[in-house]
Amino acid sequence: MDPHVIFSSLFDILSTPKLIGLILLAVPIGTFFGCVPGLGGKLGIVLLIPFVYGMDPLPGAVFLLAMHAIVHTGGIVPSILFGVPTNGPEAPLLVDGYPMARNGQAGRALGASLGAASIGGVVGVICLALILPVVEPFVLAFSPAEFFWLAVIGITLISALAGKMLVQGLIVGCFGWLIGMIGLDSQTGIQRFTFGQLFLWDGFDVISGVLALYALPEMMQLGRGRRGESPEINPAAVRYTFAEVLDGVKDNFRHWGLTLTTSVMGTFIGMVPGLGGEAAGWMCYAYSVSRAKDPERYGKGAVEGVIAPSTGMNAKEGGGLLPTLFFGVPAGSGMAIMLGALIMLGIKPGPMMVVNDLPLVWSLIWAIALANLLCTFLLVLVGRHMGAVANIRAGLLVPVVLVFALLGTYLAKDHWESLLVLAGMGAIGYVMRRNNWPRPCFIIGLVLGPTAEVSFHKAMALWGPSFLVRPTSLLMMGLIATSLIYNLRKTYGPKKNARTSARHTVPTDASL
Amino acid sequence: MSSNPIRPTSPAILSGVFLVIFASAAGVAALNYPPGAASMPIMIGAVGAVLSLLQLVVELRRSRGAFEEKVDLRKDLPIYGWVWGFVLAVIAFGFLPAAPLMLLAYLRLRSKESWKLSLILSAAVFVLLYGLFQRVLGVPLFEGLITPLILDGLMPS
Repeated sequence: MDPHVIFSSLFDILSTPKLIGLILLAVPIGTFFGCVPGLGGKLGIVLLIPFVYGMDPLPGAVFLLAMHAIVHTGGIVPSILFGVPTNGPEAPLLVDGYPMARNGQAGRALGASLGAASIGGVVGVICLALILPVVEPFVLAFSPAEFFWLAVIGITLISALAGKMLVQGLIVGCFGWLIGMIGLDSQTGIQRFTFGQLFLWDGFDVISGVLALYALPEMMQLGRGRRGESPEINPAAVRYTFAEVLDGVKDNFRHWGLTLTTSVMGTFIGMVPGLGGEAAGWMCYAYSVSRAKDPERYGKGAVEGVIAPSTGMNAKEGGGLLPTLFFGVPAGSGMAIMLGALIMLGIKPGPMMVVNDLPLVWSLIWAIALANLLCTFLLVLVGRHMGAVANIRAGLLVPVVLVFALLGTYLAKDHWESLLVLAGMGAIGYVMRRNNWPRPCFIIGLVLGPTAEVSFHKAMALWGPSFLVRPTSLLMMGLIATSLIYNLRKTYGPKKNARTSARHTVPTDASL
Repeated sequence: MSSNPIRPTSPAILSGVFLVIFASAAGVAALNYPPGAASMPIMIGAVGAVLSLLQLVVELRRSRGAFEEKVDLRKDLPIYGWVWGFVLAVIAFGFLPAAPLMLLAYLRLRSKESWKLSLILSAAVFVLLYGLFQRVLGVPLFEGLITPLILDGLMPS
């Protein structure tokens, strides 16, 4: 790994006004998506697609990734100050962060969490820098057989995302995979499921799918009543001093061992398909409890219980880039949507990125680190005023988001017929939303299904059915079986203790 | 809590039926494709159809008491109607006139916002669409199916 490539990418970002300007713009936008209930990072990416339409790949990708990387940091403020976890991954912060705010330590909790998020984001990037030289030869040695199995590993992610709704998750995954088959078949060149419609020849794009299954159902949910319901905000929670926030930031250095360990943990969790998303926060929290000398403090306002999930959930963003960019296998549903957006921008994720696009990869990694630092700085300054943002009326939010959802759908393919598909599929997404069906499984099927199919046919053409018994295939089958058994046991197995069962009372990413 | 059987016309059942039909139809339609293009759709369609059927049977066997009806058509249909209103207006008249006007209509009629706020938001969306997207970024916004006909009628070449 050439250090020149690493640092020249950073220098390029810092010395290019357009790139640094886009990161500066992405920070408040990502914070907004993070702290408004019902929005979140996944919607953020798809709703910002119109803004990056026609942009060069680097600035477009830097903008989207910087925005996505800090969404969870934006969610820290409403989670700690108002007890409102706007998205799944911030939920662990409620356990100790909200009690700290109620105990009059809002500033300290906020400082500890924001400092930890920032450190987690930067440590995640450093870990990635150290891992990349080791991973590089493996990436280049991958053949279609390994890519097929990697896609299957990604699909087994459904077992982790679906939780108790495994059957529903599989149905939704099959639904996404079938939708992903629409268009010209790359093997035979014949049209599949296009019904003679020209606009379906290019296939069904991920952006429209996400907008139909996420944006519309969320907006319909928010817009059911005449006016949206807003969280109750305790005015005492937003009264804190800057010194208290600084004290919280210092807590990260007082507990430096925990901060560093959970940052590294978060990075590695982010790299594993199926363990990304909210798992990083909860696993780091569980680690913090397990190493504590006095675990009874947890749940009542322990600052370590705020630091651990904050570092974990931000460090995983850096880790999640590795499988997404080099293997085209997203680590979670957020990265699956990001993968679709990167492809739309003209970036081709895959092993050749190691050879051809390493400066681009490093620019993206640095963009995540810079966005994390800037976001922390912004929130330390204006955190107490975020209540107004978290409290935006649904009646105002719904129609504006609807306009941008339509714009994103149209621009993804330049076909007006896509708008009809969006409205039609939106109804299916809404029924799934109301019945808590795991919608991320649709994205997994839509993104990874076609990858698995193409790699399968290539591997069959190269080796015939014998590719199934290649050593790497057997190893990956073993990994898939282990991951499936682990996820099924985690979901259906006996609960270990009250704390473990308590976490299931918090809304999960799968249910969102 | 009632123990009445769930209605066969409930949205959960209807969506279950839809998924069974969708997955089966995809699998059956793929039978006409060459083997290379047919294998995956048939396999995934079959798995999807069997699982959807299984889920449908489970839903039908549940009592309405156990299964809370999650979709309330009286509340949900109006907002879904608005979604279609936005879509059809944009398809007919294009983004520039339709999106701000539908936004204004929604804010006034559904959200009951003040004229002042509704007009400011609608104007802001128009400026964003026209100024930022169309002029600055050069994004080609859809003109609608009817608007070009009207413009041609008003300004014959």
